[in-house]
Amino acid sequence: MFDYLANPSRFMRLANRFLPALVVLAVTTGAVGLYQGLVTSPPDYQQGDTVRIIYIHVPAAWLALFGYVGLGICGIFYIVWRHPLADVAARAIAPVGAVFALLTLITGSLWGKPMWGAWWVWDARLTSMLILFFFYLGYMALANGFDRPERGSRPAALLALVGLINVPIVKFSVDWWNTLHQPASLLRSGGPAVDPTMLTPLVLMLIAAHAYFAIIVIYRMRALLGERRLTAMLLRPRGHA
Amino acid sequence: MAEFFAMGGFGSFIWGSYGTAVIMLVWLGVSSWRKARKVALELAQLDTDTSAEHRPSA
Repeated sequence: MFDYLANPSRFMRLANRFLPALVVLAVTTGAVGLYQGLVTSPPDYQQGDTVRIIYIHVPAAWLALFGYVGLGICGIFYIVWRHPLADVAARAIAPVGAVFALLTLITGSLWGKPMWGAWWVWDARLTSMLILFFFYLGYMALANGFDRPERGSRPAALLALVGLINVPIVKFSVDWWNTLHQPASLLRSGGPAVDPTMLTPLVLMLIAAHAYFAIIVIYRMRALLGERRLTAMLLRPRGHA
Repeated sequence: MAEFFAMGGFGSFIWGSYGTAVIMLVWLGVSSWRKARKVALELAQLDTDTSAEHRPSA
Protein backbone atom coordinates (compact mmCIF):
# COMPACT_ATOMS: atom_id res chain seq x y z
CA MET A 1 0.00 0.00 0.00
CA PHE A 2 2.84 2.38 0.86
CA ASP A 3 4.49 1.73 -2.47
CA TYR A 4 1.21 2.37 -4.23
CA LEU A 5 0.70 5.69 -2.44
CA ALA A 6 4.33 6.77 -2.71
CA ASN A 7 3.71 7.83 -6.29
CA PRO A 8 3.11 11.60 -5.91
CA SER A 9 0.55 12.02 -8.68
CA ARG A 10 -1.41 9.00 -7.49
CA PHE A 11 -1.33 10.30 -3.94
CA MET A 12 -2.48 13.76 -4.99
CA ARG A 13 -5.31 12.32 -7.09
CA LEU A 14 -6.53 10.47 -4.01
CA ALA A 15 -6.10 13.54 -1.79
CA ASN A 16 -7.97 15.72 -4.27
CA ARG A 17 -10.86 13.30 -4.23
CA PHE A 18 -11.16 13.75 -0.46
CA LEU A 19 -10.81 17.53 -0.62
CA PRO A 20 -14.50 18.51 -1.19
CA ALA A 21 -15.66 16.22 1.64
CA LEU A 22 -13.00 17.69 3.95
CA VAL A 23 -14.12 21.24 3.14
CA VAL A 24 -17.78 20.38 3.86
CA LEU A 25 -16.76 18.64 7.09
CA ALA A 26 -14.60 21.55 8.28
CA VAL A 27 -17.23 24.18 7.49
CA THR A 28 -20.19 22.36 9.06
CA THR A 29 -18.48 21.12 12.23
CA GLY A 30 -16.64 24.43 12.57
CA ALA A 31 -19.85 26.49 12.26
CA VAL A 32 -21.88 24.37 14.69
CA GLY A 33 -18.90 24.03 17.05
CA LEU A 34 -18.31 27.79 17.13
CA TYR A 35 -22.01 28.49 17.71
CA GLN A 36 -22.26 25.96 20.53
CA GLY A 37 -18.92 26.95 22.01
CA LEU A 38 -19.66 30.68 22.07
CA VAL A 39 -23.45 30.75 22.56
CA THR A 40 -25.22 27.65 23.83
CA SER A 41 -22.56 25.98 26.02
CA PRO A 42 -22.67 27.12 29.65
CA PRO A 43 -19.91 28.99 31.48
CA ASP A 44 -17.82 26.79 33.76
CA TYR A 45 -18.62 26.94 37.47
CA GLN A 46 -14.99 27.74 38.27
CA GLN A 47 -13.61 29.31 35.11
CA GLY A 48 -16.69 31.27 34.08
CA ASP A 49 -16.77 32.18 30.39
CA THR A 50 -13.02 31.73 29.92
CA VAL A 51 -13.73 28.01 29.50
CA ARG A 52 -14.78 28.91 25.93
CA ILE A 53 -11.11 29.38 25.10
CA ILE A 54 -10.63 25.60 25.31
CA TYR A 55 -12.70 25.15 22.14
CA ILE A 56 -9.77 26.77 20.33
CA HIS A 57 -6.90 25.83 22.63
CA VAL A 58 -7.44 22.06 22.86
CA PRO A 59 -7.98 21.41 19.11
CA ALA A 60 -4.94 23.59 18.32
CA ALA A 61 -2.83 21.66 20.82
CA TRP A 62 -3.96 18.28 19.49
CA LEU A 63 -3.14 19.24 15.92
CA ALA A 64 0.23 20.66 16.95
CA LEU A 65 1.03 17.26 18.48
CA PHE A 66 -0.51 15.08 15.75
CA GLY A 67 1.18 17.25 13.15
CA TYR A 68 4.50 16.61 14.83
CA VAL A 69 3.87 12.86 14.93
CA GLY A 70 3.19 13.14 11.19
CA LEU A 71 6.42 15.07 10.72
CA GLY A 72 8.36 12.39 12.63
CA ILE A 73 6.78 9.52 10.65
CA CYS A 74 7.65 11.33 7.41
CA GLY A 75 11.18 11.71 8.76
CA ILE A 76 11.45 7.94 9.26
CA PHE A 77 10.10 7.23 5.78
CA TYR A 78 12.50 9.72 4.26
CA ILE A 79 15.59 8.55 6.11
CA VAL A 80 14.95 4.81 5.74
CA TRP A 81 13.29 4.53 2.33
CA ARG A 82 14.17 7.91 0.78
CA HIS A 83 10.56 8.45 -0.27
CA PRO A 84 10.45 11.91 -1.89
CA LEU A 85 6.76 12.14 -1.03
CA ALA A 86 7.61 11.85 2.68
CA ASP A 87 9.87 14.89 2.32
CA VAL A 88 7.13 16.84 0.53
CA ALA A 89 4.54 15.88 3.15
CA ALA A 90 6.85 16.89 6.01
CA ARG A 91 7.62 20.24 4.38
CA ALA A 92 3.88 20.79 3.96
CA ILE A 93 3.05 19.81 7.55
CA ALA A 94 5.75 21.82 9.36
CA PRO A 95 4.45 25.39 8.91
CA VAL A 96 0.87 24.28 9.60
CA GLY A 97 1.91 22.52 12.79
CA ALA A 98 3.96 25.54 13.80
CA VAL A 99 0.94 27.82 13.43
CA PHE A 100 -1.19 25.46 15.54
CA ALA A 101 1.53 25.26 18.19
CA LEU A 102 1.82 29.05 18.32
CA LEU A 103 -1.97 29.33 18.53
CA THR A 104 -1.93 26.87 21.45
CA LEU A 105 0.63 29.02 23.27
CA ILE A 106 -1.23 32.29 22.60
CA THR A 107 -4.69 31.01 23.59
CA GLY A 108 -3.21 29.27 26.62
CA SER A 109 -1.63 32.53 27.65
CA LEU A 110 -4.92 34.40 27.18
CA TRP A 111 -6.59 31.84 29.43
CA GLY A 112 -3.76 31.75 31.95
CA LYS A 113 -3.77 35.48 32.65
CA PRO A 114 -7.34 35.67 34.05
CA MET A 115 -7.30 32.16 35.59
CA TRP A 116 -3.77 31.72 36.96
CA GLY A 117 -2.91 35.39 37.13
CA ALA A 118 0.07 34.93 34.80
CA TRP A 119 0.53 35.02 31.02
CA TRP A 120 3.24 32.42 31.30
CA VAL A 121 4.74 30.01 33.84
CA TRP A 122 7.69 27.66 33.32
CA ASP A 123 5.45 24.68 33.90
CA ALA A 124 6.40 21.31 32.35
CA ARG A 125 3.42 21.31 29.95
CA LEU A 126 3.93 24.89 28.79
CA THR A 127 7.69 24.52 28.45
CA SER A 128 7.48 21.25 26.48
CA MET A 129 4.87 22.86 24.19
CA LEU A 130 7.21 25.79 23.59
CA ILE A 131 9.98 23.31 22.75
CA LEU A 132 7.61 21.59 20.29
CA PHE A 133 7.09 24.96 18.59
CA PHE A 134 10.87 25.44 18.39
CA PHE A 135 11.29 21.98 16.84
CA TYR A 136 8.87 23.02 14.10
CA LEU A 137 10.84 26.22 13.53
CA GLY A 138 14.11 24.28 13.53
CA TYR A 139 12.72 21.83 10.98
CA MET A 140 11.67 24.68 8.70
CA ALA A 141 15.01 26.45 9.06
CA LEU A 142 16.95 23.28 8.20
CA ALA A 143 14.65 22.17 5.38
CA ASN A 144 14.83 25.58 3.68
CA GLY A 145 18.30 26.65 4.74
CA PHE A 146 20.20 25.40 1.70
CA ASP A 147 20.59 26.81 -1.79
CA ARG A 148 19.33 23.53 -3.19
CA PRO A 149 16.33 22.69 -1.01
CA GLU A 150 16.75 18.90 -1.36
CA ARG A 151 20.05 19.12 0.53
CA GLY A 152 18.13 20.20 3.61
CA SER A 153 15.74 17.26 3.51
CA ARG A 154 17.91 14.74 5.34
CA PRO A 155 19.15 16.92 8.21
CA ALA A 156 15.61 18.27 8.66
CA ALA A 157 14.20 14.72 8.74
CA LEU A 158 16.78 13.80 11.39
CA LEU A 159 15.80 16.79 13.48
CA ALA A 160 12.11 15.81 13.12
CA LEU A 161 13.02 12.35 14.46
CA VAL A 162 14.90 13.76 17.44
CA GLY A 163 11.93 15.98 18.26
CA LEU A 164 9.63 12.96 18.47
CA ILE A 165 11.08 12.38 21.95
CA ASN A 166 9.34 15.57 23.02
CA VAL A 167 5.84 14.42 21.94
CA PRO A 168 5.18 11.98 24.83
CA ILE A 169 6.78 14.53 27.15
CA VAL A 170 4.15 17.10 26.12
CA LYS A 171 1.34 14.56 26.43
CA PHE A 172 2.33 13.07 29.79
CA SER A 173 3.97 16.15 31.34
CA VAL A 174 0.78 16.76 33.32
CA ASP A 175 1.05 13.27 34.86
CA TRP A 176 4.82 13.09 35.34
CA TRP A 177 5.25 16.46 36.98
CA ASN A 178 3.20 18.49 39.35
CA THR A 179 2.11 21.06 36.81
CA LEU A 180 -0.07 24.12 37.05
CA HIS A 181 -1.66 22.99 33.79
CA GLN A 182 -4.63 20.71 34.44
CA PRO A 183 -4.35 16.99 33.54
CA ALA A 184 -6.03 15.43 30.49
CA SER A 185 -9.83 15.66 30.43
CA LEU A 186 -10.52 13.77 27.20
CA LEU A 187 -7.95 11.03 26.56
CA ARG A 188 -7.80 9.66 30.07
CA SER A 189 -8.61 6.31 31.65
CA GLY A 190 -12.27 6.32 32.66
CA GLY A 191 -13.38 8.33 29.63
CA PRO A 192 -13.79 12.07 29.10
CA ALA A 193 -14.44 14.09 32.26
CA VAL A 194 -16.30 16.88 30.48
CA ASP A 195 -20.05 17.54 30.59
CA PRO A 196 -21.84 16.80 27.27
CA THR A 197 -22.82 20.47 26.89
CA MET A 198 -19.13 21.30 26.64
CA LEU A 199 -17.92 18.01 25.18
CA THR A 200 -20.07 18.35 22.03
CA PRO A 201 -18.65 21.71 20.86
CA LEU A 202 -15.16 20.56 21.81
CA VAL A 203 -15.44 17.38 19.73
CA LEU A 204 -16.95 19.35 16.83
CA MET A 205 -14.07 21.84 16.94
CA LEU A 206 -11.60 18.95 17.10
CA ILE A 207 -13.11 17.46 13.93
CA ALA A 208 -13.09 20.87 12.21
CA ALA A 209 -9.45 21.44 13.16
CA HIS A 210 -8.39 18.02 11.81
CA ALA A 211 -10.23 18.59 8.53
CA TYR A 212 -8.82 22.12 8.14
CA PHE A 213 -5.31 20.87 8.89
CA ALA A 214 -5.66 18.18 6.23
CA ILE A 215 -7.02 20.66 3.65
CA ILE A 216 -4.10 23.06 4.14
CA VAL A 217 -1.54 20.25 4.01
CA ILE A 218 -3.05 19.01 0.73
CA TYR A 219 -2.81 22.51 -0.81
CA ARG A 220 0.75 22.94 0.42
CA MET A 221 1.75 19.51 -0.96
CA ARG A 222 0.16 20.46 -4.27
CA ALA A 223 2.23 23.66 -4.36
CA LEU A 224 5.46 21.88 -3.39
CA LEU A 225 5.02 19.09 -5.95
CA GLY A 226 4.12 21.66 -8.60
CA GLU A 227 7.25 23.66 -7.78
CA ARG A 228 9.39 20.54 -8.20
CA ARG A 229 7.81 19.86 -11.56
CA LEU A 230 8.42 23.49 -12.56
CA THR A 231 12.10 23.27 -11.63
CA ALA A 232 12.44 19.98 -13.50
CA MET A 233 10.79 21.43 -16.60
CA LEU A 234 12.95 24.55 -16.55
CA LEU A 235 16.15 22.54 -16.15
CA ARG A 236 15.25 20.11 -18.93
CA PRO A 237 17.28 20.61 -22.10
CA ARG A 238 15.12 22.22 -24.73
CA GLY A 239 16.23 19.98 -27.62
CA HIS A 240 16.89 22.01 -30.74
CA ALA A 241 14.73 24.94 -29.83
CA MET B 1 -26.07 41.37 23.10
CA ALA B 2 -23.66 43.55 25.08
CA GLU B 3 -23.76 40.89 27.75
CA PHE B 4 -22.75 38.28 25.17
CA PHE B 5 -19.73 40.31 24.07
CA ALA B 6 -18.74 41.07 27.66
CA MET B 7 -18.41 37.31 28.35
CA GLY B 8 -18.76 37.79 32.08
CA GLY B 9 -15.96 40.35 32.14
CA PHE B 10 -13.52 38.09 30.27
CA GLY B 11 -14.45 39.44 26.83
CA SER B 12 -11.00 40.68 25.86
CA PHE B 13 -9.38 37.32 26.66
CA ILE B 14 -12.05 35.25 24.91
CA TRP B 15 -12.46 37.45 21.84
CA GLY B 16 -8.69 37.86 21.77
CA SER B 17 -8.33 34.08 21.54
CA TYR B 18 -10.99 33.63 18.88
CA GLY B 19 -9.75 36.65 16.93
CA THR B 20 -6.14 35.44 16.95
CA ALA B 21 -7.28 31.99 15.84
CA VAL B 22 -9.36 33.37 12.96
CA ILE B 23 -6.59 35.69 11.75
CA MET B 24 -3.84 33.04 11.93
CA LEU B 25 -5.90 30.22 10.42
CA VAL B 26 -7.44 32.29 7.62
CA TRP B 27 -4.01 33.71 6.73
CA LEU B 28 -2.55 30.20 6.70
CA GLY B 29 -5.38 28.83 4.54
CA VAL B 30 -5.45 31.71 2.06
CA SER B 31 -1.67 31.87 1.62
CA SER B 32 -1.44 28.08 1.10
CA TRP B 33 -4.30 28.12 -1.41
CA ARG B 34 -2.87 31.09 -3.33
CA LYS B 35 0.58 29.49 -3.52
CA ALA B 36 -0.91 26.28 -4.93
CA ARG B 37 -2.89 28.26 -7.49
CA LYS B 38 0.14 30.36 -8.53
CA VAL B 39 2.26 27.23 -9.13
CA ALA B 40 -0.59 25.57 -11.05
CA LEU B 41 -0.93 28.63 -13.32
CA GLU B 42 2.84 28.74 -13.95
CA LEU B 43 2.81 25.03 -14.81
CA ALA B 44 -0.11 25.48 -17.19
CA GLN B 45 1.71 28.42 -18.82
CA LEU B 46 4.90 26.40 -19.25
CA ASP B 47 2.92 23.48 -20.67
CA THR B 48 1.40 25.64 -23.39
CA ASP B 49 4.79 27.27 -24.10
CA THR B 50 6.56 23.97 -24.59
CA SER B 51 3.79 22.43 -26.66
CA ALA B 52 3.91 25.54 -28.89
CA GLU B 53 7.66 25.05 -29.32
CA HIS B 54 7.25 21.48 -30.48
CA ARG B 55 4.58 22.36 -33.01
CA PRO B 56 6.03 21.88 -36.49
CA SER B 57 6.53 25.26 -38.16
CA ALA B 58 4.60 25.95 -41.32
